[in-house]
Amino acid sequence: MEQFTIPKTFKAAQLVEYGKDLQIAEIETPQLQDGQLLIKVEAAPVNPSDLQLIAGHYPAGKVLPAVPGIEGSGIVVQLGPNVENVKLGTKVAFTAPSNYGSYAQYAVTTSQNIIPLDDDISFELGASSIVNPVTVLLMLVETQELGAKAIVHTAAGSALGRMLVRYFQDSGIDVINVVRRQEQADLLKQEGAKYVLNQTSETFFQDLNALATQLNATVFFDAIGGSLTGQILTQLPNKSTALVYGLLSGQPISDVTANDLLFKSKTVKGFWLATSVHKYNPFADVNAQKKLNELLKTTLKTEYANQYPLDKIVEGIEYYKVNQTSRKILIRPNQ
Amino acid sequence: MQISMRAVVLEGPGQEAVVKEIPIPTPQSGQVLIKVDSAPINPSDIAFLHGAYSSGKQFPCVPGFEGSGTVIANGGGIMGWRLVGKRVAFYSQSQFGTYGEYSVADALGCLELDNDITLQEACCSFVNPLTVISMLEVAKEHKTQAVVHTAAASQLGRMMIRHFQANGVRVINIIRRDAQVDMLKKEGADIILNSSDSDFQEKLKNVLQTLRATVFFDALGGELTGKILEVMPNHSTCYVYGGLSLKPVGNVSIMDLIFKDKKVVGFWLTQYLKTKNIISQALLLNQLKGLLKTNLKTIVAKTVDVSEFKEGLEFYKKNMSEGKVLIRFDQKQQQQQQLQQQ
Repeated sequence: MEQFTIPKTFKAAQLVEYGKDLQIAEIETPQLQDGQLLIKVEAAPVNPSDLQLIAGHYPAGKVLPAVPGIEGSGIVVQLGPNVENVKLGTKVAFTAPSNYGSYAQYAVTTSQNIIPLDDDISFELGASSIVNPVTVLLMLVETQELGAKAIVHTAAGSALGRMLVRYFQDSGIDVINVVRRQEQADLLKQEGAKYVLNQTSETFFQDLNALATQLNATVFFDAIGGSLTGQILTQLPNKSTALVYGLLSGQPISDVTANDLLFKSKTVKGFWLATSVHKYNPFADVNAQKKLNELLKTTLKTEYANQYPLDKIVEGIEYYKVNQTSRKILIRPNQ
Repeated sequence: MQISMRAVVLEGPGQEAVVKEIPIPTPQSGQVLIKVDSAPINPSDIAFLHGAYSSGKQFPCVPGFEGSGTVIANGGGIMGWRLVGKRVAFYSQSQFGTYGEYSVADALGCLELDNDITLQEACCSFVNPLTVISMLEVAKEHKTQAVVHTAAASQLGRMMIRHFQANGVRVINIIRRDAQVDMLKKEGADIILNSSDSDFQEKLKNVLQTLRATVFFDALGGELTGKILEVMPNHSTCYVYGGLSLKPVGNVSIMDLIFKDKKVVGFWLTQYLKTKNIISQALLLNQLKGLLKTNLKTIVAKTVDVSEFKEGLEFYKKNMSEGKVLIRFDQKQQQQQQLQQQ
């Protein structure tokens, strides 16, 4: 059995105060509790949810100071008491809901939060396995359960959005992509997106209404919120459901009409990876894991613009904030 | 024999409704013709007159969604045949609604009345009472201890207090004017909050600490909807059933939707009833009968003859919490008009 030397302290990017820059610190390696694992982190991406967490807008149950970083890839190097069915040395993708997230040389998680990665998946490829890819997979399951043949997706030019359009179109579900800038529309067309609308266009709502009616798009995944949510929902067919999964506008949802809710039977609800419980569960189901591994190499692949060592994480985060649509960045804590 | 009747006629949505003489309609198969005794004005009728209510009615039409009267003709079918000559409370979505001397309704939309209730007492049987009964079903499905209710001083609100509390579900009443507090207390309301208080949200939050309400029936819409939903427990559902604020629903926190599993959906009686089979519907209507004179009783503020429809409507709009305004059909007026025609 492989043995790993676990250091007494390690380097981590700590969140000391919400809304402030992360601070690099040398922290004590924690004692693992029941069911916990220690992961040597090889790569960790920055997602919009990470930015929300650092800003204090994501209920992650962290007690400050804490290490942020919701997901990453690495190797299992230590098993806590009563951990079953996990081998030391396994290459994994993981989410780290503990106080020891992935923006550090080591992270703490549990066996329910890891997905083994195939040998031919690099740490870089495996770093964004869960937050975006599993969300997209579950969005398709949700869409199929609601019986929809087409969906509307806002902020469609995001990394998740580009993944979504590839995966959904491959699965026979049409996507009406809604973006704000021409550059995002171009990116999507490159991915093979069939339908792209610009929300700043004068004819946007008419175009949306016509397209949504033609395609019978009754599911709407919304990453933005604000008044656009209600304004888009009103253009969709009867019985449509708005599933809000992101807060990119920072605004509460508004402009949802009583007419839509009462007479057109439309619904507004949330969609969260953590609570979206379906038969398809890549954390527990071996077939789902296989499928995810295959898709990670193709349809659900993420590309990175830049990589940063832990010391430069603040710079990396600033870069990402400016270039959120087109460029994801990766943190490499152990390089 | 009378061949024409007086009725309120709406030429198009949002236009002014006028009282006219029009031919007495003929019921189709499955429908009955009712000589109308009384018909209330409900907020949904007002919305319809303004063009803000979906009903599939073509224009011109006679408005008025519910009322009471005597069935005088059957359009065809056994359900209608049974009802001829009977006194009924009824619901009409036909071209000939209840603001006319004669109305056409589905036989299935008629509730036969027992002898112990007058037609005037029974004319508000469907819109409010059936909604309140259905809302209790929804609340029970959620297994909630209590519900939050806005515009709580409305007729429906007062019915809700009586009916829900009699069935073990408490009501957290939200009102806008302190003047309404005493009236609600007389109905037995024990939790009343004023949404115009500066610390309203705090107070509501405190109440919800000990009384878990995961269902919110909202009659208002607007910014208050999101504000209330925000302090409700996880997994709460807001059922929007009215738009009294005339504003779209707003201020709904995204964190509530994503992380706290809260939802915003509509509640429309017509749609709700469609989800029930005939037997469940019949059982619902039976529940109604027993309660029309007690918990689901309607307070009437004023009755007007149909010729004074406009005045009645204006009165109701200004005094909505006082009670319902009923439209009735004065026999003397009708005879006078006929004499004038001859």
